[in-house]
Amino acid sequence: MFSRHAQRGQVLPLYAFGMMSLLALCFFLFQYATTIRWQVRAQTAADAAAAAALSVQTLQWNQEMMALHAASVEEYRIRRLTQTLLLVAHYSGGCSATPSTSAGVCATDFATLQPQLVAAVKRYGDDIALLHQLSYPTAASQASDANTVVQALQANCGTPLGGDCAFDYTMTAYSQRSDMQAVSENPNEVMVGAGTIPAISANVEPARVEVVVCKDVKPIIPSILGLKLPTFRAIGRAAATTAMVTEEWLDPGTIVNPATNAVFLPKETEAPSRAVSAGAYDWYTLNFGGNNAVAYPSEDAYQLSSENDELSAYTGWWSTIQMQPFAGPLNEASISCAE
Amino acid sequence: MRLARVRGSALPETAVCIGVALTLLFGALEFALLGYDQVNADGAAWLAAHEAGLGLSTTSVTNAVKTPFGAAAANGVALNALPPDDTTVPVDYDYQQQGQRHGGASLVREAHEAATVTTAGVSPFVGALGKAAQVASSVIEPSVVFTNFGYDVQGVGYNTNSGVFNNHNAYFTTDANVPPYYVGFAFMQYCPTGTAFTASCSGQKSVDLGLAEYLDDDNYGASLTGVQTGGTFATMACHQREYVKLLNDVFTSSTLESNSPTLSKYNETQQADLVAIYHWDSTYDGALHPTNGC
Repeated sequence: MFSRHAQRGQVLPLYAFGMMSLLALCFFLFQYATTIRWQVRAQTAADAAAAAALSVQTLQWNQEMMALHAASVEEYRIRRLTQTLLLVAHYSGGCSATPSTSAGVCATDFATLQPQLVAAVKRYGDDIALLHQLSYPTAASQASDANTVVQALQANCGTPLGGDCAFDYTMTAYSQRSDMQAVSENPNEVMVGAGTIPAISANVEPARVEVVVCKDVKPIIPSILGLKLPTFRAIGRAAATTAMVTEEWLDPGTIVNPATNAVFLPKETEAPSRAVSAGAYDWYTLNFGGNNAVAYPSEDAYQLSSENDELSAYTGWWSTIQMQPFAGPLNEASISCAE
Repeated sequence: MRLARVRGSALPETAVCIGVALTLLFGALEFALLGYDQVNADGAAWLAAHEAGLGLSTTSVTNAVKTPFGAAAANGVALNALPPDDTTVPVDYDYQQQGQRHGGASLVREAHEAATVTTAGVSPFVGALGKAAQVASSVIEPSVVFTNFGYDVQGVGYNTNSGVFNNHNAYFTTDANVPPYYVGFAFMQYCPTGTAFTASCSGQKSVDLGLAEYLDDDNYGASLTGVQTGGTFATMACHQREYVKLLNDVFTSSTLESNSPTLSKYNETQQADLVAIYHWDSTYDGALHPTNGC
């Protein structure tokens, strides 16, 4: 029998099928987007963890470089003071004296300079002691420190000191980076090791670390029509290494604070100025000189000039930079994965 | 009512309903596929930018994208290296020579890598009507570059980046990638004639201080750290002992002279001590033997 009533609902199966298909498509699209979102989140967590893992080494080396820099400046001061004191003892260097009757002004200058030498040697000793305290980490202890940091990220997750609580963190590789450029002479143009690159102790080589974060992400809908949907494993894998990112050098009396136009660090005058007439040289002033390196546009390079007795004391600040994972194919059996 | 008159009466309704339903369904399907393409492009752009930020070549980035996101997305990758942000605070430390600077320089600068992925889109329905949909996505990730490599870490246009970034390279392929302490050295130069240290100074001397030694092969290979014997910084402890010895020699004198006892004694003892101290050092053109006497 055909009737209008009998023909009602003919489109319904088609519509229902279409809607089901559409919903299924939307679900898979949503699932795909979720997968990518989790992957980005995992990679971000791994990137941050890898950088953090080497923070102990960068902190250690920054402190070490600071101590070395201070010691170097102090040593320069000691050298200069000893030279000046020797000149004064010879009634030279600008002080006036009548050696046959009295040490005159030279004795006064000597009395002024001598305690400063004592104080400088004491400070140098303090610098050495500090350096010694900072300088014990070995390559093995640095690796242990890095692993401790990674575990701390896991333990303190959800706090400012921790990582992303969604993931399990595993340090999968740690080694020294041996791909540095060959250096056969120091910047003073003095060849070292007869031009042969010396073997470098692992203790002072920059480290590299690889961190993997993992989570098994369950689907939003566990199953459809009895069909269990698979779990997605979000894995973030990142590597980082330590690198010197900033270089600085000492130039007291020259480097000016742009805001105040005053020098950050003034020149030192160890005793009242007594310039020697020839060359107007003042042995009593510690100019430091600085490296006096400037960038000359025409040279497109540094250009060094020495305008004073010069101390060239560079220092640099270490930080972490990202790099490509280096440990080969990932062995998933070796990592922990959050559920 | 006769059946013949009823038969087929619902056909127009059905045709309209099916037409509308199919249009809606195919439209929705089209949006779903476009959504898939967009999500795919977003993921591909992010991965491309992240990998490029690690210093991978364009070919390597394309290969990295191809596996998870498909050839269509991989072939649509376009990379663009972006310079670091401009220096917001102008730095000009040298008040006497504007345009030149002293004091420090960034070796590794925070640059960016932009990746754009453009795909034609899978649009069989709308596409059939001549409206091929195209999706695109762009992501910027940080990158590590060494700008103005080749001993010029400042260079032209430091503030504006314009001159610097044209000469950039991945960190690991530049001469900035050197062993630790390479730039952590120190030396002092002086004019032995006791005159001002200018270009006219002849026979200028350069002596190496503690930090200068760190490029010497005998401490690079030290198995110990610290200042103890055999340690990386052992020479500095030696220097410290010599300085203390110098002070002791001066201040423990038992044969003071009446006229100017301190000066005379200092004169005698310090000269000998200074001979030992300066024996550590090299001359400007000499070999580096900082541990002489230590």
